[in-house]
Amino acid sequence: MNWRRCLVSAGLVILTNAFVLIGVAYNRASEPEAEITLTERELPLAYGAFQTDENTELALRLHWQHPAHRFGPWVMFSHGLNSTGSIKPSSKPLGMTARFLCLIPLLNSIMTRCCLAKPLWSWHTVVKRGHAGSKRGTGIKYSWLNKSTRGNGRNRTWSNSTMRTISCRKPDHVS
Amino acid sequence: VGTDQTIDTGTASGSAADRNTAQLRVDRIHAFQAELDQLQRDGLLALSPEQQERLTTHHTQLLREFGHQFDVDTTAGQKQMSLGMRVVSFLGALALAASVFLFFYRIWGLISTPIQLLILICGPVLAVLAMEWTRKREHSPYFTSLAGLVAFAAFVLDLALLGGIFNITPSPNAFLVWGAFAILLAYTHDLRLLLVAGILCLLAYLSASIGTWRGVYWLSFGERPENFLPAGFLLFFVPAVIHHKDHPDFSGYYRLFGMLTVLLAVLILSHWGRGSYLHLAAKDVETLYQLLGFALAGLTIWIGARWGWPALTNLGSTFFVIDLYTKFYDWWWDWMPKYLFFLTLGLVAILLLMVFKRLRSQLIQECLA
Repeated sequence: MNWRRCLVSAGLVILTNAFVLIGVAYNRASEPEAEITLTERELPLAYGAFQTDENTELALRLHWQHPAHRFGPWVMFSHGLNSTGSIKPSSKPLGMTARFLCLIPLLNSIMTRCCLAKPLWSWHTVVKRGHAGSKRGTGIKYSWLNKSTRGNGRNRTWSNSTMRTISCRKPDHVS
Repeated sequence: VGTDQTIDTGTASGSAADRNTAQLRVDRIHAFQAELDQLQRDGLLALSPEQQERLTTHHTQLLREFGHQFDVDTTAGQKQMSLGMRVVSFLGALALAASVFLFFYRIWGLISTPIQLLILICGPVLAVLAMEWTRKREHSPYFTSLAGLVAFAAFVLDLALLGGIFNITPSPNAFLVWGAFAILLAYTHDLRLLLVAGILCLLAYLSASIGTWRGVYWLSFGERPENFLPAGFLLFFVPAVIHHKDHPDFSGYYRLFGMLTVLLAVLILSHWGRGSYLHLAAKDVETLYQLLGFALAGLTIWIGARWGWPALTNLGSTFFVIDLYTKFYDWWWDWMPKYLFFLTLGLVAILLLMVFKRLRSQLIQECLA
């Protein structure tokens, strides 16, 4: 076996993954500065999610209303978001979180994916997770996390009483 | 009968270049045998029984050694089988990649995040190891190609799912990494299919980058066909900068896909002027690109004929005809009776055939001279 050839190809895979995961860790490093609580109205299941037994992942979408919509979605890319949700002109590059937030009005709905057995929020930098019965403010309460729904996507729905908490982090360069 | 020293059958290096050379040599032997038979039947050449026997023994020995050492196709039947195996390996790779993809989705909700990450990272690495293992065991590239496509699919899935899990901002850089991975595997294992996959990924990356330089959101790079023009030209000239001594047929893929990209972009712009960056009226842009389309198609035919690249000649001819016929449709479909329209197309086809025949006979005369 040509180990050198293997090492180059496999090294590219490992290096790329390491780069991505370091970026994720960096993005989650600081504490959220503000928290907002969302209900199922703003954070429903994604369209067409869990229509088949072949797919065990969970997809949510976030409805995002923003005053900047009146300018059209493209305006968001040249501005940073401040903590109150209004836009603020900025010549500096957007932080990871800000760039993510800017994508929301552009796409109108973002698919958030997480696994059922152990929930994993894909926008972990802006969403903190928790479990049913956890203390207020610690994260999302998953009332649907029980054995009866595990492995069967069709029965998974949000409970009406379930509240989700999303933590927003202000971009570093926005004062 | 002299001994051909083109390839040393005594060393079993088994590299891609050696295998290609061996296959060429085998093809030459078959062509020589066929021509010798014809000459003998026509009474123009007569070998003594001793010479005939020595020649036959030599060729049989060579074919056996090439077949054993490089696993090349030594008969027409084997060539047909190889073609079939190529198709089967491609379909098998597609099926395996789909299987990996669907398996991930089926188990994704049942496993924890660290295990998800472990599977995503280990998938392409294991497939790369499988490539090396199959290459060591098999001289033929079919199983290696299959494992390579699975490795590529696993790596694409890896980054796509990492982006989904951690909500990473979509970036064109993913295409760069995918392209680099595919091209790396293609060069190390002499796999054309992965080279094409890598070229397409690089095209997407370059076009998206050019789009972002113009201020377009990168995922919308396809809305401006001009983004593809520099990328296509860049790929076309890659073989001029990087010489492919070990992979002589790789150069053709760069040229073909580079020029195909350029011609396609020009064809689209010749009918959709609003998609251009140029500050001109849409009609003017379309006229400009129609002229450019004809010029580029003609240039492609000339380049193909001049340097002996038949794929480029065919590509240029195809686009020349497409450009011509689409213009005929624009000009004449509405006001000309349909029978007359198709009659015109047929006459133009005959005219083109005559032109190509003339060009071909000129080339033959140049060869004979």
